[in-house]
Amino acid sequence: MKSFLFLFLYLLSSKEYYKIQESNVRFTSSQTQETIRAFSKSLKGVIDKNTGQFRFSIAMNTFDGFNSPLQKEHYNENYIESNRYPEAQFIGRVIEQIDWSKPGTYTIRAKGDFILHGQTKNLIIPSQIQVISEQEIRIKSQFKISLSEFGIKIPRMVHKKLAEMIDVSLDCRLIKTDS
Amino acid sequence: MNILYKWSLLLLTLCAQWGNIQARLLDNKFDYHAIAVDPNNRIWLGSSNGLYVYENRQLNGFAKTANLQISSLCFVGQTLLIGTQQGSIYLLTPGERIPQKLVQFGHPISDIEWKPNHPLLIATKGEGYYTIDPYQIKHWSTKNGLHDDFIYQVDFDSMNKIWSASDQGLQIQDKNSFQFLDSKDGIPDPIVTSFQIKDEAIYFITQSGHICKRSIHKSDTSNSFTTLSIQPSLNHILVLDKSLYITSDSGLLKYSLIGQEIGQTFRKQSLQKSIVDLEGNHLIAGKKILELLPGEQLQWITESEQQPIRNVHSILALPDQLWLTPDQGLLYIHLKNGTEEFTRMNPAESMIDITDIQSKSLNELYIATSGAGCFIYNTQNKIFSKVPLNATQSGNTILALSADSNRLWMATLNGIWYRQNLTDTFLSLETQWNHKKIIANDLLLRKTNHTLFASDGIGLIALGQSGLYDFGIPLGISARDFYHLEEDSKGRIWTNARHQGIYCIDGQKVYHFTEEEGLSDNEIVSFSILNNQYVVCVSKKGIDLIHLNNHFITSYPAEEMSLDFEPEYQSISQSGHEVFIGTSQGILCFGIPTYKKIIIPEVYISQLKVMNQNQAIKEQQFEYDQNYFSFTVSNRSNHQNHVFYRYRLLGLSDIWSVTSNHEIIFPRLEPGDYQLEISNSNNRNFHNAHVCQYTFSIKPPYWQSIWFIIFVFLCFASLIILYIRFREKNLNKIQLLEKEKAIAELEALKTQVSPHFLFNSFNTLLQVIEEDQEKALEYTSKLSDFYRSLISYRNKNLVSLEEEWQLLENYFFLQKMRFEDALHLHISGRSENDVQYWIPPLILQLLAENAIKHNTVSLSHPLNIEVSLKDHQIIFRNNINVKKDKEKGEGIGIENIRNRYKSLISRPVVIQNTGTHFTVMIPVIHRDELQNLQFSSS
Repeated sequence: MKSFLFLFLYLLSSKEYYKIQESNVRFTSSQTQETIRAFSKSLKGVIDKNTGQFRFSIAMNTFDGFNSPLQKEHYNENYIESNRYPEAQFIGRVIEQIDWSKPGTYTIRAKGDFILHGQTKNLIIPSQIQVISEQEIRIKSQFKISLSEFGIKIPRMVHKKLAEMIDVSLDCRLIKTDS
Repeated sequence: MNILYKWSLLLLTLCAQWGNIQARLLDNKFDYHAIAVDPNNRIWLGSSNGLYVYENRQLNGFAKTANLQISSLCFVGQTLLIGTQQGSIYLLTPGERIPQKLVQFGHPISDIEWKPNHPLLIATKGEGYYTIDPYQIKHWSTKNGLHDDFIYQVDFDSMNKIWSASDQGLQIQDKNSFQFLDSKDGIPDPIVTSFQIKDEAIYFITQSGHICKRSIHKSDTSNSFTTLSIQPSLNHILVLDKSLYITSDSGLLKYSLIGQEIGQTFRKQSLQKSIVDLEGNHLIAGKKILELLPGEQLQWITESEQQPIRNVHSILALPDQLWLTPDQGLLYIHLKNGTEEFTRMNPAESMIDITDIQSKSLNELYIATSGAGCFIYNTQNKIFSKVPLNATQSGNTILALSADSNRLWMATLNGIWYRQNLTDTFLSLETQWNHKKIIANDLLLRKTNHTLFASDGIGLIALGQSGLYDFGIPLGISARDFYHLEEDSKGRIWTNARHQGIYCIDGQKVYHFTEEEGLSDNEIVSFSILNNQYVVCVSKKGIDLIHLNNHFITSYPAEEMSLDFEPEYQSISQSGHEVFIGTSQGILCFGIPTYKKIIIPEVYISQLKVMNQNQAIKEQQFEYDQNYFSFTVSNRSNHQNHVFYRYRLLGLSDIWSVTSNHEIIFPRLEPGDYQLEISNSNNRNFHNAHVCQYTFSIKPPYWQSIWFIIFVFLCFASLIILYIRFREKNLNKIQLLEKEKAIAELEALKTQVSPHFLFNSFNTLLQVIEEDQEKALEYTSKLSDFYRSLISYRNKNLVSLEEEWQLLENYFFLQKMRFEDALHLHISGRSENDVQYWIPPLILQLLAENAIKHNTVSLSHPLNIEVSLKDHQIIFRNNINVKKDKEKGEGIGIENIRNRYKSLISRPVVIQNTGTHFTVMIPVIHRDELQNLQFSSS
């Protein structure tokens, strides 16, 4: 009877999660000859409040803000190959325990499989979770992505224009949702 | 006193330098993620592009594994298990080149562990771990007890509990129950990436860079997590006897077991994993690097660069204490758990040249000096007190002393002086026994009241009941200069002689060890007996261990250990498991790590070249002209550049040859059976060495083999027989032909002179003359033509068909006159080409004559003869009207024709008798065939 109750509670509670309401993802490639910046506001994602499991995804062709329209085309066609690999995903779990009921800023490590350009890599991404209220949280994160690790080759011609390590920063607001 | 106190309080920071012990770079081509050592001490490496093995001082890849991203390697006995990023386990059995896929998991393999009599452990990044024993495979994950499925490493502790490092701290499995060490227990970081258990403690590193230590007993709360240090991006931890070695993205870090950082970071490169091999060497693998360090066998104890220890003249090691005398005076080092603490004492100026330190009692030391006599130092109150000596008698320069609580013996430049009790005055030994002065480098007070002196110039001297006597000469020891004396637990005396190695005197038996027996150098600078197991001999060329039980010698050549050292004479002392060696650069601590095994490196033939062509080593039969053999031999050892090989080729010589060359060459081997035996050693001592054998044979040349001689003989004999038979056959043929020709000539002559024919011809002529004179003339001319032809043909073998036609017509003309309408000749197929055909002469005439001779020729029964040429043969056909009275000589003509043809050509003469008709078919010879005939027409 007791175990049944636990199971019931588990099932009930597991449906509590935070869902992205607003987001801003930027990436920057700083190389000697050129600095490329792009951003997207269409990050989607959820975090399970109880287990800390999460799933984020972003459509790669929603990035905008390149130095020229041609650059955006190159980005979509030659490097990211948005048609073949339309999404980047990060699926995993938050290592640290977070007291969602207590407002404050928590430094956490999100660990999971990062899928980009059809390649999967296990990454640990340090992030900050700011619990504003039990209903609303904010996630900020800054990390680097190595292009070669995800099988994105930089032609020799653009070696001085495109960096191997891409800085990514992320800022998003999540709202608690029950369903 | 004040100054001394000040000095003694001065604590100097320790800085053991990596630089003193250098690493050997083995390879820098690939990025290695996994490393393992097999029972033969070969190094196996797993990289993101396959498997490699380092053997024979070079790296060999496995081509069939190029697509494997290897994440872990583990040996189960001789079999290698390979875990990959793709989540599969492969198995490589010894000798194979292609691994077999064993099992496929859903997540990358992070670790494989195996210990004898334990299940195999396989850890995965995402599905927990598996325990595999011969009876069952068990899967452990969050479904049956674990807190986390992402496992970095897994291992057993001494109680057979399974420890695993995960994202949620350490997980401990004891059969079916689980314990956890996680955030609730105060772990500084739950992501534990690597750990090792040693002596009831677990050492681990975390993702955020903590280096931690804790008791393995969870209930032991008094000993909670101790964070030793925090460093970024750590990869793997290795705990050895004395230190922790941690590989990180910025190099190898070394810590003492209590967490003190030792030395600078080694190799500022990304390093993945470090292990120790069976010989105690430390192997480090990482991004484009594979290096080998001598490990913990050799460690330098030196102070900081500002206060270096130089020229250590004498050392005394007591448990956890070291007393030594470098140039600057007396130095005390306290050896704490993993670290050292230095205290310098500055004794009076006159005491600077300290030659020997011996312990007198628990708190007192004897200190011998050069020029200032002997002192007693009290370690408790730190007071020096001079031993009262009669300076004029004994001299103040003491070379060595030997003492116990009461006795004190001193070897001085003025002979041996001793006192048996503390209160006695010193006596001169030589004066007492009326012996010439003994300048001794060392003296040994034996348990059996015997005292021995290692003299400089007059050999080994012993003091017995009856006085001083030469100890060495009766035992056959010829050396005169000795340095040091020591007695082992079995009462054997060991002594090193100048340039003559080391002697072991066991009662009346003497063992002499020199370079021939395997020492690195004949000049042993100092030696000490360690643990009653080894005699540690130090020379400039390195350190040699003589095993007391079996006299087997293991060498640590200075070059191999990257040792650049200058050991001081007689400056050595041992304590516990370590020997401290005084050198001009500092103190070298030599110990045998607990994990080190003495392995006898295996020797094998790595390459065989015959006539400079590579041959498979399986090949054992060679041809007579494959007689230039070149063997390349190798040994499976990681640290010996200098290897000696001993070999002999049974079948050529029974004498062993010793070489340091990897290539053994035998030029121009004679045919025969051979066996090559090779053993190896890192010195010249081949005792217990592994022997490799290779048997092969060289076949004798074919012209010497019996079958070839028989074959040649048979060929020769059959050639002679064939020749004789051919010649006989030819002669027979000629003979036969001659005979036939003779018969034909005879027949022709018969015809020529046949009276019957002549008579008939003349009768006919008579009739014709009466009737027609014109015709008679023609008849006569034809007759004479015919006879001329007959005569001219006598010597011919062949005539042209045209001539033969002519002759036949002539003959017929003559006969026609006689028989008139009773005889008819019909010739068909004549042409101009008939000149090209050849035929033996008189054949057609002979046939016609036969036909007339054997048949009735009358008007009522006319004889019709038809001759035609068709298909290269003449068909001669006549009707048969059998005569009642037969003429003689029947059959001779036909037989003669046949025989003449047989000797000419292979085509037969066909004779048919149908009863009404008689047909003979005679082949004619075309001009082109003439050349093929044995007898051309003359």
